Amino acid sequence: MFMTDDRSEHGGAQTLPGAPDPSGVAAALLIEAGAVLATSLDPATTMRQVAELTVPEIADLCVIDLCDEDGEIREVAVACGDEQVARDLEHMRQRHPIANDGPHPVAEAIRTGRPQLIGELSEEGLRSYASAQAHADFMIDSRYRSAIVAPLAARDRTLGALSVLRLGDGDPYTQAEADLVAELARRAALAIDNARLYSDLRGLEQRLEAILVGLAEAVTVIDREGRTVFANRAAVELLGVESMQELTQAKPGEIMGRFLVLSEDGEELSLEDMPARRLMRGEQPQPLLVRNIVKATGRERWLIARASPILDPDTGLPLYSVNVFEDITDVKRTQIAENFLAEASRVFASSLDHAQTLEQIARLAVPQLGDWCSVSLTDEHGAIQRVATHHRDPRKLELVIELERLYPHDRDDERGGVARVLSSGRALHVEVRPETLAQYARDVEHHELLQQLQLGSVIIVPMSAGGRVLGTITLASDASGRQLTEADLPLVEELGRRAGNAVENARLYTERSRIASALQQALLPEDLPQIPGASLEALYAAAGELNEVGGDFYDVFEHRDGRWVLAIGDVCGKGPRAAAVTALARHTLRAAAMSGQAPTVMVSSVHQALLGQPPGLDMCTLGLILVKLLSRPRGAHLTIALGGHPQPLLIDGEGNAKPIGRPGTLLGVLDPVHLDQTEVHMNPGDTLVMYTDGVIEAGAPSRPLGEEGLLELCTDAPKLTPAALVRRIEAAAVAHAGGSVRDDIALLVFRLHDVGTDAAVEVEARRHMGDSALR
Amino acid sequence: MPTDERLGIEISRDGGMVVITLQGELDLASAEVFSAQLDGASSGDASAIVVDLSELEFMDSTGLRTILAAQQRCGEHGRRFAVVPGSRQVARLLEVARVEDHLHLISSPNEL
Repeated sequence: MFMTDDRSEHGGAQTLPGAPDPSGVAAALLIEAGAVLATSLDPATTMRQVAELTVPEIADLCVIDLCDEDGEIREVAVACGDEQVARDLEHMRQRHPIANDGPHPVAEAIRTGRPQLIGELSEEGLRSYASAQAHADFMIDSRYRSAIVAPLAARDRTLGALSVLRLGDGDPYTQAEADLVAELARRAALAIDNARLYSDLRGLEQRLEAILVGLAEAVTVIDREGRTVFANRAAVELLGVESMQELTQAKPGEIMGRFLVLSEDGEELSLEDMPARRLMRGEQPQPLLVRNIVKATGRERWLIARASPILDPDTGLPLYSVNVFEDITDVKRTQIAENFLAEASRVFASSLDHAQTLEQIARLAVPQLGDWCSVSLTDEHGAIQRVATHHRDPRKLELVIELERLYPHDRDDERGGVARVLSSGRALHVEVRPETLAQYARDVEHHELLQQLQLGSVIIVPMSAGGRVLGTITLASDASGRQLTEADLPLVEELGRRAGNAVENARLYTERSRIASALQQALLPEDLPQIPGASLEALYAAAGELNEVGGDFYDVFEHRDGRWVLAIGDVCGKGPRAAAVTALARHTLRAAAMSGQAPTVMVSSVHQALLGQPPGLDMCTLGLILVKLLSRPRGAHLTIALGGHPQPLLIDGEGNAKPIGRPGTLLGVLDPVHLDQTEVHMNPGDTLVMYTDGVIEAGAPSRPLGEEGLLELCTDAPKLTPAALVRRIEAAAVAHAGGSVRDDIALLVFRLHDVGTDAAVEVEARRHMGDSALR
Repeated sequence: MPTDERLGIEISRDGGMVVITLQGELDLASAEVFSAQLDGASSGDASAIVVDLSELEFMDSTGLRTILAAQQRCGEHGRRFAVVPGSRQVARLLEVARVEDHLHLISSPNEL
């Protein structure tokens, strides 16, 4: 090595002692250059090493000038036996830089790309090269003697120039030496260029790494063998390891083994499903949404995993997979919560049968929210009743049911979480640990069962409505899976509130339906009377839900002297008010009948009764027929009075139907009312059909049954029993209404028996009368 | 101005006369909407109200009750009240209820 150390031996400015064996020196120099230039990848070091290589072997002073991208001569490295000269020259270059378009040989070499050999440097020549007087003085004072300036050219680009100089009395340079320097410059240029490129790359790499390390997204780089070669800070944290080293030292797949990785649908994913692996198999994987659960802690995260390749420039195959994991847990949780609650609300709205809806809720919650869901309600005595239980694992579901059967919740046992939530009305979150399980157990066997469930965490929330706690929802997770945390509480509490309201509504509804049904029954005759020689059938069908008392009614009762009253009516509106008006109408009619009044008077009395009510809009229609049975000739005499009610139909034995009676003013609103009394004869075998407007309006306005439709149906009346006719009309009305009628329907069918068929019809009639009483 | 899924209500004014044109169905479900609209339209300096049922497809007894109630309120405020009958179903309902003697029926709003 003849580098810095050797040089000090020679000391001061020295000349090469002639060139007796230039080829030997040249070879040694080039070999040395090869060794030196391979050692460093730092541009400044490389330049210095190149400069020092020539001194003192072939130069007293060596200067390397480098240009920047714009061609400006900027950087400089100087080597000289006399360090003062070296420092002065560096200083000179800074103060008086060489103009790149000037006459200086360095500028010339860079411009032309040709080596410059100036065997004899004259004072005059030096002055012509100088950038300033001081520069000229420096060169003259330093006794510049001879110079070779070779361009530093690499990869079709001139980086600068390498200058070697002899000072004082040394020999002028020869062409052979110029060739040597030119060769040295070529090698040096390559080394400097490599060092520069490396430095640029390194800088870029450092900047990239700084970016990667600081990224919020977790980034890992995995090689073909599946080893992690890089992981940023976020990745280290996400993967729950101590350091990047732990990751890079882990065997492929080892880290993944620490997680339960699930797809959005809850399917477990393997390493081979991950984008990085698929990329290595030559696929072009789409970003993958995964639910990542740390097995050790049960901590859950939602991640979007993306992989992009670093390709081998030669083969085009992926060398590395760069994996980015975006944590969207918060977004996903919110989305899941919103979806879940929307779904739960749909379930609650779908039915008023709370046992059924709570069962559906339990199924909805598993496995979306937890592994096990139980719902309990308190009954009227305050006892806790389990109403729904679901578990992801059928075996454990059996276990849970067994547990709840053997150890039913006890309100007074404060060890039970359900009892505690019921009494406090506050939600409970418990992380279950094997050592604390005993405090919830009532005995050894209970403890055993609880252990078998392998509980991880439990949330119990109250189901409340209007400040009352109606029951609880218990949600639990297995120890092995995702754990329920405090963060899950708001969602489950909201579910509890909605469930509480749904249960309360269902209870109120059931209660109301029960009352409505009882009231409706009270408003209709319990049983239709038996009229000799005739049969009767009646129907009342409420529209829509059963929880409102409807406004249609009918009644059949004895008038006087073997005469009968058939009445049908429609009170406008629904609910308690309609019920009261219905009761008033029926009782007024009965009272009027007892005093033997004529049909129009009876109808009018109902009108008067309604007017006598507190101001309101109680409106009612009434169709009334007084039937006087005749024995010789057999038949009946009908007297009809209508108050705003559709005309009844009289159908003869041939099926000819005709409306009877004359329209009269509806009752209770307009005064006075105009009522007409009409009289019609009814023959044996004839059928009388009285109906409310709900029948003909069924299906209106698009496809109403209408009066025409009803008349059409009635043409078959002679072939049907009254009960069959009623069923047929009802079925037609429901069909026209597309399954659900818009208004209540009431029907009253009266058939005068034909001679000889009486007995048979009578039996049939009785059977159906029994039916109607149950409606 | 559509005010209910199945009931359309249009209100136009000509001086003191307010014409309320109904379209679709006037029944238990839409009666309250109509009642409220009618009260709103017939306040202030309205001197005559015409309810035009010529474009109404269907009316039930609750709808009829609402119209009768409106007539009653107009009477109390000294406003004239008239009805333009509509479809066959509506006309039949008015006939069955025998309200022709009590309602001022006209064939078009211009008649008033």
